[in-house]
Amino acid sequence: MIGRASRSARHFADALEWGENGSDHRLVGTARTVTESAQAEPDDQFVFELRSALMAEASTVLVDDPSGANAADSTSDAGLTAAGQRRGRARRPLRVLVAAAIIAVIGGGTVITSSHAMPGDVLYPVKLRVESVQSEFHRSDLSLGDYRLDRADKRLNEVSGLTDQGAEPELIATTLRRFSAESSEGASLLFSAHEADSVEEPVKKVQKFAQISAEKLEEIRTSVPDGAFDAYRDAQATLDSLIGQISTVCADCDPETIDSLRSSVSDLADDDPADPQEPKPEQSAPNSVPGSTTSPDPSESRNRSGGTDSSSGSQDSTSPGRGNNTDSEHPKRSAKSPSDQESSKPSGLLDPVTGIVESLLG
Amino acid sequence: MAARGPRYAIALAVTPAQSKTGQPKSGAAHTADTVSGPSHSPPSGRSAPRKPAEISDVTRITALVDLARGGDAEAFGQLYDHYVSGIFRFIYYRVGSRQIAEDLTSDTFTRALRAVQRFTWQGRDFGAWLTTIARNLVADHHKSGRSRLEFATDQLPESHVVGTTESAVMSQISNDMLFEAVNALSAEQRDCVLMRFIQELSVAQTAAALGRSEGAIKQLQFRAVRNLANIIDQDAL
Repeated sequence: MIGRASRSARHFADALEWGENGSDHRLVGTARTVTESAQAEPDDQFVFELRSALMAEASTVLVDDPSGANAADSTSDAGLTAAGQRRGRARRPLRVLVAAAIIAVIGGGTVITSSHAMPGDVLYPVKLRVESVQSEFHRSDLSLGDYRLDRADKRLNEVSGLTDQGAEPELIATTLRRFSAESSEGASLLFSAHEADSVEEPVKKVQKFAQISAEKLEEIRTSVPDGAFDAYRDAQATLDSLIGQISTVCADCDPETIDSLRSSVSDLADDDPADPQEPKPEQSAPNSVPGSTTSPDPSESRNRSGGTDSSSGSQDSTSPGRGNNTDSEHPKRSAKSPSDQESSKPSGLLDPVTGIVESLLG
Repeated sequence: MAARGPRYAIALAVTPAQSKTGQPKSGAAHTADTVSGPSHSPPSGRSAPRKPAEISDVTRITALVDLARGGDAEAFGQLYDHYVSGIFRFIYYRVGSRQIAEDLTSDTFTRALRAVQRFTWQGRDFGAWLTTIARNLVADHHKSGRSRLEFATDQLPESHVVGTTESAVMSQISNDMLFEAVNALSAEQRDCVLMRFIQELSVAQTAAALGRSEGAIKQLQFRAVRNLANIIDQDAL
């Protein structure tokens, strides 16, 4: 019986593969019907806007990786590659000038206006892109980490505003996830700066940020709608993770202060509705991927965030928890010497600007 | 990102694969699967011998993934162009709402962007990897209680039942019927159908995304389509 079922399955697969018509002809027709009936396509505008947003984000998320580049070159046509590189270098100064001019003339007013935009506003994506471009001006881990925490704080203030307005839960959740992502990445940079320079200042910044953020999360706790509570819990878990790292790396930090902070952050999750982290029964992929929350380890699930712009996408491929991930978030950045970082900045500094202008030019 | 623009010249040199409405979606998802497995033909029975264009596509996807891993934003953008339709369809026929499908598609690619530099080919296929991200996000979405099972048929081009149950081969069924039929399957069969016949992943890609062997996927797709045929027949009566 098992053998016959297996044979039928194989014949069916072959019929699909090779177009054979056999005893499973009817099922092949059903499969084709399904394929031909599934006509849904994303809107062109959505595809375009998402691409633009990804390109803007890529300028801050992707780190130039020479080893990756070499690997790429090994699979690419060397002639085309070299020609393209020369062309790119030659055009860059002109593109930068054009970018600067267009942003100054056309985009200036929009950028200024967008600075007060809230999530859901038309100009909010512009605000995020401007922030992304600004982040490129921060050259050191300390400076950039500080800036990312500032961005996280802005997101939290926006969450507060959104809850006051009774905004859609999804909007609140998305903004909370952005807060988590910025917090995690900013802290990661500051911890890297701490390791590189053996000074406590970066850690103190993270500690202060965690303290302020915990207070703000406490203020909005009762206002967060159910639909955004997972994201709220992720934000709480993010802070919890940061505090754990602070206690590990900060020799000068007062243990009692840290314990108090940890306690206050833990309290944020006390009243949340019971929502056991049920494993997804259908989840069985062996490779951990972003978006997965199926880990049997509760701490892993807790430390993941689950939505738009979440940093979890960069956290779950290799590391079991946020605490470990923050160390590996920017491996190249932390591995570089300060001089390497300086030398790698100029081209990366200007690429986002050119990207925006290219987007504007269509 | 010093070599951002130029290094994807190889990719630009090859015609991009796109799947747009009204055209076969064969280029959207299955083209890269030969990287990870031998079974790469679309389920509609197109010829098995690999065409030059398919080989170019595989080369192109491989190059783009490697460039993106190296920090090339535009390479990631081209990967996005290649896969966005398939990922959207996979999500859309799971959640039944264009708005939610767009949100989850955004989440999928945002997460992929943030993790692409740690993507490794070993045992993986990029399309399957993206699909697994999407699948997990859909699961999270349903778990969060935000799921809406109603199907927004007004947002879709309507298709109609053509043919009879006697002929057993219908050219098209309506989108709401398709949505209901697919989601009436067990979770594993449903995801298999979504990946194989709606997103048009290969057996190898589906196996990678579901963490199963190719043999298991072949059995799963057989049972799934058999059940699907019964459901569609009953609905059509």
